[in-house]
Amino acid sequence: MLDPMGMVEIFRTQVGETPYSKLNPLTKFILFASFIALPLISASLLMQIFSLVAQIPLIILSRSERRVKRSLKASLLFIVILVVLNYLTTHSLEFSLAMVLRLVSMIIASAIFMTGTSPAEIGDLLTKLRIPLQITFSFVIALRFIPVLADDVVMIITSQVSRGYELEKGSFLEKVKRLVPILIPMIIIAIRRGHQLAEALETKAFGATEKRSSYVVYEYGRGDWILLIYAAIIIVVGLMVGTLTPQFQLLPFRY
Amino acid sequence: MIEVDGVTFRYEGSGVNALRDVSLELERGKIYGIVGPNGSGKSTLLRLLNGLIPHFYRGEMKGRVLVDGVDTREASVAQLSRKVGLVFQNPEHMFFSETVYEEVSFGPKSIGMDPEEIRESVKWALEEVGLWELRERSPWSLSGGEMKRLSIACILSMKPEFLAVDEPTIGQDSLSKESLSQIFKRMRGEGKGVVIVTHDLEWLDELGPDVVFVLRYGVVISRGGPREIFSDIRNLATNGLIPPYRYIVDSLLEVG
Amino acid sequence: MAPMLKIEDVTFRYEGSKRPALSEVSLEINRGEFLLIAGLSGSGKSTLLRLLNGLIPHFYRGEMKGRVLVDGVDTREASVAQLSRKVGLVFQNPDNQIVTLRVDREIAFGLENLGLPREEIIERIDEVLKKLGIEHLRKRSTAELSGGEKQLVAIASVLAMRPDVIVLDEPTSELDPFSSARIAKVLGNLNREGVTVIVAEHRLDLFAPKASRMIVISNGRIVREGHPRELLYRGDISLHGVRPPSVVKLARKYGVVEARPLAVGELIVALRRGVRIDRS
Repeated sequence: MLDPMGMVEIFRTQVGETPYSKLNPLTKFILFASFIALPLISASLLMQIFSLVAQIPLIILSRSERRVKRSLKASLLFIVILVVLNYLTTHSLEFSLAMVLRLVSMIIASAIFMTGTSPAEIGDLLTKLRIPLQITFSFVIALRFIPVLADDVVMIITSQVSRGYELEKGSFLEKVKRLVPILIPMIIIAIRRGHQLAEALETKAFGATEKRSSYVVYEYGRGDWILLIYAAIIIVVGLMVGTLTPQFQLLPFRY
Repeated sequence: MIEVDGVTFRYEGSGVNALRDVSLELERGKIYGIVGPNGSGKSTLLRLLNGLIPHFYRGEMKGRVLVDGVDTREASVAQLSRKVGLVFQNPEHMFFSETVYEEVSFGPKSIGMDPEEIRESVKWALEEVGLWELRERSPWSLSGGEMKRLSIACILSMKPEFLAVDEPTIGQDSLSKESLSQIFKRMRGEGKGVVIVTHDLEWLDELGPDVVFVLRYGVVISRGGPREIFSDIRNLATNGLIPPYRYIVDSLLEVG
Repeated sequence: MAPMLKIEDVTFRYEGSKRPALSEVSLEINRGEFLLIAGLSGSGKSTLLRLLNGLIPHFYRGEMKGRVLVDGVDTREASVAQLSRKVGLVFQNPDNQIVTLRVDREIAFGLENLGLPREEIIERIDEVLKKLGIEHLRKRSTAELSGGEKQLVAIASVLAMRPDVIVLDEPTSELDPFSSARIAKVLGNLNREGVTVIVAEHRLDLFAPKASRMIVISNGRIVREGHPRELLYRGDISLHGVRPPSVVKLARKYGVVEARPLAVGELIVALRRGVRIDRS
C-alpha cells in the first residue's frame, strides 16, 4: 500500500534534451498560459478540438507523449464524472464533450510544460515574473528537498517496521493513529533540516540586498520566436473561431 | 543461526545487483564486522537479516535467508524482529514518544509481549545501555551519544537474539564510541549474535570482532578473523578501505 | 599585526537553557593559522564556531556577555551577511546546507546574494572548482552527489565568497574515511595557500597533523591550548574525553615519542631515522 519509492519517481521523469526543453523558460510559460486561456475563449466543441489539435506539434517537440498518456489515465475517473454530470445538467452531449475536451487540453498543456521545464527553470521563471524572493526560493528549496525528505520517510518507515510496526492492521481509525510513529519523526526531521538550512542561508548572505544578481541568463533563439509567433497566430485564429458562434462567447454555462 | 544462502538481490528499477551470490552464516555469541566501501552492499545485506528485503524493499531476489531455519520470505518483518533486531544510523528516524521509557516500550508492545514481560524488558534494555536514570526524559532532550544508545535500547527491549547495527559510530565522539563497544561486548557475552556494518576499522579493531567480512560490489571478497583481514593491507586498500593504523605501521616496518 | 578574530571573555547562554554553553571564553586567531578545536559532543564547540560569523547573536537567541571582533568589527554591529565576506561557515550535514539543484548554481548562490556582477561570478566559480579539483562536478545535479562530494561543493560555495577565514563544524562526521581524508587534504592545501582554517572535529588522526594550533573545550571552557604535538603527547588530555590518535599510542609502543609524530608517515620516518625502537 505504501509505496514511497514509487511516489518519488513522479519527480524524476526526464526525457533529456528536446527542442522544446531548449526554449527560453518564458517562452514555455507563454505557450503554457496561451493553451490554458485558449480553451476558455468559448465553449464550442470546435474551439476545444482546435485547442487540442494546436498542441500536437508541441507534444512532439517536447516528447511528452508518455506523460500526457499518464496524466490522462490518472484523470480518467474525473473525466468520466465530468461528462456524466454535465450531461445530466445540460442534456447536451456536445456541451459535455466540449467541457471534457477543455479539461483535456489543459491537462495536455500542463504535461508539456512539466516535461520540458526543469525545476530550476521554473524557479528562474518565478524570479523573472517578479514574484517576491521569499516565495520563489521557498519553491526552489522545496524542490531541492523533496527527494531528501522522501528518503527520510523511507528510513523512518524502515526503522519503525523493524520494531514490529505494522501499518496494514486495524480499522480506518486505528490506521490513522498508527501514522503517529511515521508523522512525528517526519515533522521533527523536516523542522531540523529547515532550521539548519536557515542557518546556511544566513551564512550565504541570503536577503543581504534586494538587488540580487543572476548567474543564469537565458537567451532568445530562433525557436523561441517561431513558437511565440505560432502562439500568437493560434490565439488570433482562436478568437475568430470563438466569434463564429456568437451565442457561445466567453464561458457561458447554459445553452 | 542466520544463514544467508546464495543471495543475489537487485533493487527494483536498478540496473545492477546490489548483492551477488552472497553466502554466510552468523552464530550467536559472536561479533561480526561487515566492512566495505560505499555501494558495496553492506546495508543491503543487513536488510536481508530481518526480512526488510524482500517484504519492504521491492526487487528481485534469488537465494534465501534462514533465521533459525525459518525462511524470511515466509515470515513477516514483525515476526522476524523478535529474533533479529536492526538498528539504523539515525536515531531520530525512530523517536515519537514523550518519554524514553515509552519509546523503549514501543517495540515490545508492537510485537505483542505481555505487560509484565514488557516492564521487565524495558528496564533491562535501559540498564544495559545506561539510560535507566533518564527514563522520564524526552528522547530529543538527550545528547547525541545518549540518543544512539536509546535507539539500541529500543531494539534490545524486543529481546532479539541477534543485534544488527548499521554504522553505529558515525558522528560519535570517543567516549560514546567506547560505551558502544562495551554494550556490544556485553551482548556477545550474553550469547547474542552481534552484526556490525561499519567503515570505522580502527574502532572495529579495538572492539575485537570474531569474524570480519569484506564486501565490494555486492560480493564477499574475503572473510576471516580480524588479524587475518586487517593485516592484508593490499586487499583492504584496493577495496577502498583504510586499515587500522597499527596494521599499517606493522606492515611498513616489515617492508623497511 | 592585529589578530583576525578575537573572542573577548564571552559567556553565552541559549534562551531557555539553564546553563551557559560557553563560559568566559577568550581566544585570538591570527591570519594563516590552522586551528583544530577538539572536545566531546556538547562541550560547546559548535557554539564557539557560531560566534565567529555572527550567527550568535543574530540568529540564536540568548544572553551574551563579552564580545567578538572580526577583523576589528564587533559582531553585534554587523549582520551575518556582512560578516559572511570575512568568515565562511561550513556545516556538518552535507544536505542541509545545499540550497539549489545544480553545483554551479550552488556556488553562484552566495555571490548572487551579494549582488556581484555576472562576469565575476563566472570567474569565481571557475576558480573555486579548479582549486578543489571538482571541475567535473560543474553541471551535476546536487541530488546525485555523494556525501563527500556535497561537502566539497559546500566548501566551494563558501570559498567563492572569498572569506579570510573558513570555519568548519565537524565537516567529516557523516562521511566515510576516504571522503574524510580528502576533505582534510583539501583544507590543508587551502591553508598552505593562505586561507585561515578553523575546524571543530573528532577525527584527530586526520586533522592534528595539519593543524598549527589546537584547543580543547570541555563544559563550555577552553581547557587546553597549544600545538597539537605538545597537547596530544601530554598524559592528561584524555581526562577531557579527547583521545589522541592511534599514532600516539604506536609512537609510545615503538619508543619514538621524542619525535612526536602525528601521522603514520611521520612515525615511519622517525623509526627509520633510527630513533630507539623498543618493541616490548
